[in-house]
Amino acid sequence: MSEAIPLLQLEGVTVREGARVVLDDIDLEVRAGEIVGLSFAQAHGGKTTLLYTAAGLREPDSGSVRFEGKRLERATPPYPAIGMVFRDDGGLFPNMTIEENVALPLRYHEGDGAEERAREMLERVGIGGSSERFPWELTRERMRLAALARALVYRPKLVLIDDFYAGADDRAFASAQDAIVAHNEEHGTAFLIVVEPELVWAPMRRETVDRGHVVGT
Amino acid sequence: MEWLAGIGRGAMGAGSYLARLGSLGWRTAAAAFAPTGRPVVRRLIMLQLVYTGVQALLPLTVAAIAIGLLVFSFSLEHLPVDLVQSVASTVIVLEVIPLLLIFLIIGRSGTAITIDVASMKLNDELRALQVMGIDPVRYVALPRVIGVTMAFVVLQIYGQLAAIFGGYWGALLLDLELPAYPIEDLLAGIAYSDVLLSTFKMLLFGPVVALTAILHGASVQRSRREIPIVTSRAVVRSLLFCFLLNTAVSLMGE
Repeated sequence: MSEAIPLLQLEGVTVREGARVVLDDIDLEVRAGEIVGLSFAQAHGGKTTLLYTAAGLREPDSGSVRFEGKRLERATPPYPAIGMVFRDDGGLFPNMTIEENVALPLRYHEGDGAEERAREMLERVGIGGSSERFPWELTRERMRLAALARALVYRPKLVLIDDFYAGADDRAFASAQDAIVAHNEEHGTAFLIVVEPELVWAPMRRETVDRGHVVGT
Repeated sequence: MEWLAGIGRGAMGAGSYLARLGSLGWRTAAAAFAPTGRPVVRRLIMLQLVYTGVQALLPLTVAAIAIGLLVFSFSLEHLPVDLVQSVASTVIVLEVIPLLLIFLIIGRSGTAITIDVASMKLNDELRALQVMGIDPVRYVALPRVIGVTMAFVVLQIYGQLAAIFGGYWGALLLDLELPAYPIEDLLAGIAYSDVLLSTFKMLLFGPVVALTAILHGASVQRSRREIPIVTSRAVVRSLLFCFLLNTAVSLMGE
């Protein structure tokens, strides 16, 4: 991929929910290997909608979303392009153990060695001891760490994280931060992370969304 | 003219609903040929077969024996003994057990599938699958359709045997004057064509029940409060479709 082409590019993206404009003419770029922190000036400012749109899970009403220069048309980019940590409990499957959750994408696409790689990733995010437990047996912070492990385990080019800091205790936050930085340095993975405005984190380029517009850092 | 517009809207709504059901069925059939994730999908099919098939054995056994006993006792009371063979074949094999399975499988598995899919949607699990490059139709719909259909076929054979043997021996125990009528004759009286026709019904009921349950489960938008509403709709629609198909196939086989 040419360095000139952003990994993810949103151009003039507008999303409406009924009469309400959730995202209004958003322009945003994430380049390969970059960590971008996205803050929202208002609660319910469209953070989940923006990440769904960026992942190809939701089509914008106008504007375009491109991944590696190719326009997403009501589809996520092919595996293993994107990883995502969803809001709340991260989109984990409650009927699977944490290890099965993390191993699922590898078992589905690659087969052998999935469980071993899943255990290694769980160790890296600091919850190796919870691999045999079910998501509903864990605290919210640990569930989100497991979801982060699942998003990182197949080494996607871009990881989207919804509400990174919300409610996390210091230890869980530090574990997630360490895993993100290490993954970014080792594999060049880019991150687009929805963060609270007060979060200070050196390697992160900051963007702010106010009333549906990106208003810069 | 308002009533005419109402009829038109209803027809368009029904047409749109059937088109969505057909589209889901088509995409599920197409997903069966995808090359990825075969071991994972096979495991999910086995799990669905266990949930729908194995765990339904006890209630099916009890209900089939009770119904078999009822059919034998009424037919022996009201029919000449040489007609009991055809009653066993037609009523138990072709009509009663398929109808019993409709209630049992929609009540147990249809509702469970609707609730499961609705929860998966609200919990972002379906979106998580998409992001991980896993087709939700292949991962969620395909195993449920195949598992439920296999369970229908297997339970049908089991239910028919349980109704005939259980009904016969139950009638013996209750001293309903069956002794002159050996069970071998009953089994010999079961028409091969009735078993085939009954199996054909199961092959239709399975996809219809599973796809209807999945379609309604995936229709939730925002709140868990929608789940009971979509579940009851799925049950009513599944029952309606299965009853209509049952009648159509039975009349075709006449």
